[in-house]
Amino acid sequence: MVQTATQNTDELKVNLNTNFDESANNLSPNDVEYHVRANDFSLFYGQFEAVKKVSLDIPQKYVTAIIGPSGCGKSSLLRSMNRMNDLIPGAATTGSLMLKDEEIYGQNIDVVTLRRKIGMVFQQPNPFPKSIFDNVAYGPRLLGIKRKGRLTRIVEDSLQHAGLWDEVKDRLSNNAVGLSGGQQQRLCIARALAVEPNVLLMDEPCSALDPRSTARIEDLIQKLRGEYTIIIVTHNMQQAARVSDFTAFLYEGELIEYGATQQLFTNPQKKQTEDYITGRFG
Amino acid sequence: MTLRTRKILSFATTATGIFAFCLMGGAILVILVPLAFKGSQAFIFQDTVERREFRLDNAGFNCDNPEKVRRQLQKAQEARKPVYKYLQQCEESLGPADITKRRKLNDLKQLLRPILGPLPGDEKQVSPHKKYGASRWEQCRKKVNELLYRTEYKYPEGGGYGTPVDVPRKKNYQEYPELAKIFDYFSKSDNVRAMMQPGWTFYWRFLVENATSSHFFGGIRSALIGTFYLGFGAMIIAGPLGVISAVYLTQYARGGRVIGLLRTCISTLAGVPSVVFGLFGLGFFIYQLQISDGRSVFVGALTLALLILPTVIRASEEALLSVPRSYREASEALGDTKWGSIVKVILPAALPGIVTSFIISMGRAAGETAPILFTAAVISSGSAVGLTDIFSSPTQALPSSIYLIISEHRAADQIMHVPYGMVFTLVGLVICLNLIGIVMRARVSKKLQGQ
Repeated sequence: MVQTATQNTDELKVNLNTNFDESANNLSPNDVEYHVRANDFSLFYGQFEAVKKVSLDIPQKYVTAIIGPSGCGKSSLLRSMNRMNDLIPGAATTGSLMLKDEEIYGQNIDVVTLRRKIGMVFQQPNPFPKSIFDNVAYGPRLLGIKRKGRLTRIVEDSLQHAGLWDEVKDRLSNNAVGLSGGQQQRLCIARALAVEPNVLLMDEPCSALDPRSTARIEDLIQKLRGEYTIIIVTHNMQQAARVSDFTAFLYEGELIEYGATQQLFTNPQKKQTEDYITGRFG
Repeated sequence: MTLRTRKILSFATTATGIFAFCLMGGAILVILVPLAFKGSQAFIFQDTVERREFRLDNAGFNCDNPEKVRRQLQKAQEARKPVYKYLQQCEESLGPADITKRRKLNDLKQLLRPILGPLPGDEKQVSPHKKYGASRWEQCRKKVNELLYRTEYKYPEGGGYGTPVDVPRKKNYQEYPELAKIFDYFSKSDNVRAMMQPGWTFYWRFLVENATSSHFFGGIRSALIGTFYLGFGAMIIAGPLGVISAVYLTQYARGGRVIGLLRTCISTLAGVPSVVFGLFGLGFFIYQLQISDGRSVFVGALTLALLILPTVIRASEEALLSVPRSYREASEALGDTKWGSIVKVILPAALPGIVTSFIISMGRAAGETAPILFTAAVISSGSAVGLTDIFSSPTQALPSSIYLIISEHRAADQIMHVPYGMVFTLVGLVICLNLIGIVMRARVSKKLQGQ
């Protein structure tokens, strides 16, 4: 048993070494300027405490992965960052969650403005049953952009950014629901990018996709890195290792370990982390 | 359980399913086929020269070929001459003391008038159904039969129920040869045909012509328009209300006790007998609020709207709930407000279901009798109600007219083709509306899947 686990870790090491970008290799999250900061942040659904006193700094313009077994609160934590949990009745928070120097759950915060700064991509591709153009233009239109020329430019830019432009440029008026799953997900990313957010939250963006589409999304994340602060929740540890600079490991609502991805995967400090990434549970 | 029993069970289930299906299909056939047969007789039937004459004389009605009709009329008059001659002979031979003969003559005339219309020497008639004779060939044949035969009852010895027996009427007229000749003349079907000139006609104008002379002539335009006003009006009132309630119930309401109670009320309301709504409409809208002096189209539409409101709310709620939650999440994550995402994303996605429910509810409203009986319906208001009069005047409507004609018309047996035609039209209308609903749902759901 132990032997197998070691083997797994070795494999991972090989993997990591080939894929890792040098720049973030030896950084600790504390060395970089933070973008989202949680301080003793807890989230409750009624009586149930989904996130327990989590404190972490998410660095600006890097990719941060949140991993952990099902039901560990990683999605809840992510969805707290743009207050999507408001939709769930009985959700309440304590502690603080900051976006730069703004308190996300503060009294005077305008949720609508907040969400325009924080884009989100969901687990299931969820384009609106409208045309591809209207899907991407949805956000800009909310911002009051009405001129056709400007909208067209934004749509093109966003689709280029999301790497979907070449595939759909001739059928922008087609219904988005007709695209393949992977294309739909990239469209959702384009839609999120169109409002020019600073932060991009991704809630298991590849779990509903086939390996090829997954690879394309991962490439895209690599491309967007450095422009946006990306926070990605994933079940897939290889994926976390491939795309992220920093990784946080959550278990039963608590933050167990947080550090540079390479370090966390190759040299975990906590026993639980090691057990999880070597596949002993979860 | 052995494999054998499982197989038998599975076979039995399938067989029951197929049986139930066949039963349903059979029931539909049993209902629809006679209905279509009877109903189509309002549109396709053999008319007589009398009906053609009516259409020729009355400017509002379209006569197919005036010249031809005039020729036919002449032929018919030619064929009727012997009958009139016999009558005249009889009249001339009447002495002042021949009371029995006079009575017999009058009896015979009474039987002839429904067939041939007014006889020579009669006073001038105004009402069309007295001015013209039998307008439909099947009615004419019935009348001729009545003329030729009298029904007598033969009672068995020692009491009990009698059996009807047709006795030739001619027997009673043996003493009066002129009158007896009339019976001989009528008993030859060629003569009757020559007098009435029956011919097939396709009367599609049944749908677009007003009824005249309490439905003896004309079509059902006013009833059809009344039905349209009522169904459409009910939908216009109930639709927005229903959708807004459904939006509230699905998007805003939190599951409290009051909301639970409200939902129960809505389901209960959907099951309340429609006559209760009718009485409520009469009591509340007419007596209490006095929206109109008496029955009116508007009050009828309001009552029907109440009737279909629970259904609309339920169906819209279902349509709204079937919109994936992720649409709303996506739109709110892009920074849209709750109201914005409801209007721009959720409602458009739920629209096919909502519109389908509108159309089907409209069909239901159009087919209801009881609610409009007290609030909007009259048996005959002559021409159709104008759009400006809907707040003050009552209207005919297909379902209520069917009921009222059959139950209250003094000559219902002579115009049975009208209620049958109405039923046929109404069923056709409801089937069409439902088909439109189904086709629309299929098309839009296809579109939502991106084909």
